[in-house]
Amino acid sequence: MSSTELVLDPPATSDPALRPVTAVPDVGRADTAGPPVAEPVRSVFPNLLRSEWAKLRTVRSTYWSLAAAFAAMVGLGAIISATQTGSHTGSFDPVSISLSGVLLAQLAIGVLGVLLVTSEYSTGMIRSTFIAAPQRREVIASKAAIFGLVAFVVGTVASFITFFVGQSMLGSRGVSLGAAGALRSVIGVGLYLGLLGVFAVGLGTIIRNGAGAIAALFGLLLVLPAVLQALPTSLRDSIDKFLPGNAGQAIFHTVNDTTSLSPWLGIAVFAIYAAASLGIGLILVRRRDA
Amino acid sequence: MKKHSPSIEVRGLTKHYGATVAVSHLSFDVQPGRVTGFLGPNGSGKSTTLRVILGLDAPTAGSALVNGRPFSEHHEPLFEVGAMLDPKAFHPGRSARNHLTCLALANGIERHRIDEVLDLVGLTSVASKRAGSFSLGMGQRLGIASALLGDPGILILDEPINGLDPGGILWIRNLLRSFATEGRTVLVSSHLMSEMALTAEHLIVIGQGRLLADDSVDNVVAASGHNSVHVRSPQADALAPLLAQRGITAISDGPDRLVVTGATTDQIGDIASTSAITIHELSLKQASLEEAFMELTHDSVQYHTDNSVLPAESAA
Repeated sequence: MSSTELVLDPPATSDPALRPVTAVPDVGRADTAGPPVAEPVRSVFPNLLRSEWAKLRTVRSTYWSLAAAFAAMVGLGAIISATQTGSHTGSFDPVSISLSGVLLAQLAIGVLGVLLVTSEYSTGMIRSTFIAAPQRREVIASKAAIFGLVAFVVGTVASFITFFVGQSMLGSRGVSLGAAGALRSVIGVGLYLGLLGVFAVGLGTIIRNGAGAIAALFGLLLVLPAVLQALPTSLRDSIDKFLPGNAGQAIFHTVNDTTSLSPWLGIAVFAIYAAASLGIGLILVRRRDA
Repeated sequence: MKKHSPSIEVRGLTKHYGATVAVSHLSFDVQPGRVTGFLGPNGSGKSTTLRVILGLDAPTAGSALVNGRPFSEHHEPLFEVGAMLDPKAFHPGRSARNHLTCLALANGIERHRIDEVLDLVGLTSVASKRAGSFSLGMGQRLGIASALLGDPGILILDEPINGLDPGGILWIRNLLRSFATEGRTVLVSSHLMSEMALTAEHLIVIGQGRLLADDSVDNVVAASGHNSVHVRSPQADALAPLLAQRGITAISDGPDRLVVTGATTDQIGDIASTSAITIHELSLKQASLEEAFMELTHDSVQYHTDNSVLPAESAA
């Protein structure tokens, strides 16, 4: 389609692109008016990652959304743990109960991830971005990497806190981090949210419109599982566990449940969803006019 | 740092949006060392052309090269090309300084340069304010600041005059001129002929996506059919048929008066003298740039309001 086929950067070696943020050498005005010289080919990623990190830090919605995710996770986890009346029967899962706030926190993370892309389109910032960095796929990949990492770190920290708060609320029915599957579940929440962040950035890139992308995100995470309830049980049980949310959330279930995938298979399926979402986004962002 | 090759080369550029043809077989070069005005009525394809040059839109056919390469192949383009297409191309929640920081980091531009360009466009005192609170004129200045970040050799501005007060207009005119004087390339679009007359030396005029003129400002005016000769003669009735015989158009403009197009004052004087016709006045009336523009774009104005209204005025 475009006659301007981009040659991707070769593997970055220990090149000058990996320079520290504070001391950036060789950025004096190059003789831009000279005849086109073969540029020293190096990765654009170090610059783009720094730029995307700055973008994330310099808008208020980032802090509001992350604070909301944090509060939802710890607050809801504490409330649900405190009001649990069940006891140690076969399906009682104290770890999962203490982490149930993730079901609300995921919405804040997902919405923020979508908006990181769609707000650039709605404000016109995307044109400034692409004029500064025509390597569009690398721009979106950098955005996904930065936000995925931030969502993972915030999610993991909140997950540890909500685990300890929740277990203390559960009192005698609570378990320690040493319990079977507990540590995997707690870190799994961070993994789930990190991958969800990547998934959301991809979705925002594909749809470009904020309202549309948020609707699609909620549809996939919340509406689709509800719609599947209409199916016959046997059919529903075989499809249900492969839905993005259900697959990803298997990583923080410690009680074996025949209707869901095993934890690591589940998160792997979710990772495939995230990769597919981002991958489609990367293809489309190259093809479409900005 | 004079260059011999053009900084921007547009070749056979065609862009369709669905069934709409925005630009059709457009070819031109933009040379360094002068301000090139990119003129056309609204909807004539100026912005589309600039978007293709900057790699935002893919051409349907043809190509646009910047410093010999497609824009998308530039790794740190801010050092080569500074551009402002839209005075609101920023996130309204970000401060002016943070907006520039995000762009500067993408090209590894040093931080001190951000303060320099803020100072250059006069936004230092509001650098920490949310850009969403800026007026249109301040948004323009922020856009120009981002275009200057990499101290580029090529500057591309789409309608930079819009929203600026008279002081701002003077400021940008001087900025563009000094840029060109330094041997850099300046391409600035406008639908305002009068402004271009003051700023540009060279014009690229398009209408309905097609090239209408690619020439110096003086030549565009000279080539206009609106250059006419006013003749006052007691024998005007006798002169008109003589001119008509030679294929020269002469229209009566009141008793004893003719407006002649397609001939010089010398030619008319000679014709009159061979037939012993008395001439009382023979004066060249040069078309204004505005008239030249009208002439060029008359058939290509997309949104006719009223035939008697200049597109520049109706859109301003």
